[in-house]
Amino acid sequence: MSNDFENTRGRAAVKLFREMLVVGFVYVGAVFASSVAIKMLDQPQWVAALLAFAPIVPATFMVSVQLRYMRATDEFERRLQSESLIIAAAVVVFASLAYGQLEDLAGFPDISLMFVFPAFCIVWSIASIVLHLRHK
Amino acid sequence: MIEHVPDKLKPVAQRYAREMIIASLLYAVVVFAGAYATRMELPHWVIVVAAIVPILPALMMLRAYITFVNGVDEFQRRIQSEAVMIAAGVTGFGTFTYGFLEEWAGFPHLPLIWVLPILIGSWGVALCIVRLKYK
Repeated sequence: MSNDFENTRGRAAVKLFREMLVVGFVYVGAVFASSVAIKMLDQPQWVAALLAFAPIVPATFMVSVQLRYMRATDEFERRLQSESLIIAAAVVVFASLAYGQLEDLAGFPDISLMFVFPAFCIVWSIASIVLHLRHK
Repeated sequence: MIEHVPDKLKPVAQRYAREMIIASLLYAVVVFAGAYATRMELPHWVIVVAAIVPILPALMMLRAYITFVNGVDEFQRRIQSEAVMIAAGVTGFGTFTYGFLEEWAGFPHLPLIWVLPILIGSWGVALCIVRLKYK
């Protein structure tokens, strides 16, 4: 009975992992395609803005897949996921806050908001690996 | 029908509110003091320290939140983690898109200082939506 439950949950996790891979590739493809289109074509600013916003569509699917993954896993895994998520959000947000203050008050060079998301993904991955290893 | 806060949750929520209010007041004081310090003729390193000091009350806020999340039941924790997930998604993808607009479409530069208010704002909205969904 317990094995059946584990198998069902394992299959659900594999299915969601595949979905995340597909949507992740679509997102990366959309980002590259829109950046190339904005750079190469001479379009009005509102078209450039629309092109820049287009990758938000696969991005919302990524959030949806992650939410379904968190609902499909057990309590322990969900706790690890949410802890690593809170750590990543806190590290990135407070680092941004500190650097934003340095930009504003101490004349440090401006950093684009574009780097927030990659930093978040990196810290989330590291936090997730560390927490999994710690609880093994 | 009046919605009651479960008795078990009350002390945890009260402690969270108390710690959060203290940390927020400290944060506001430190930010204003830092902004005021930049107008005075102080060495650069003092201004750098004044710019970093608001991290301390911000860490107090994080500690209050982690204590709150560890003190609530599994259902409440699930609501909190889903709301944080949505807020992180909105903030991550939103800032990435805006950074893209800055780089390629000539939009004005938005300082990194806005990342925290964006996350807090989207987290509040996400929390309301997730709570309504589970009602």
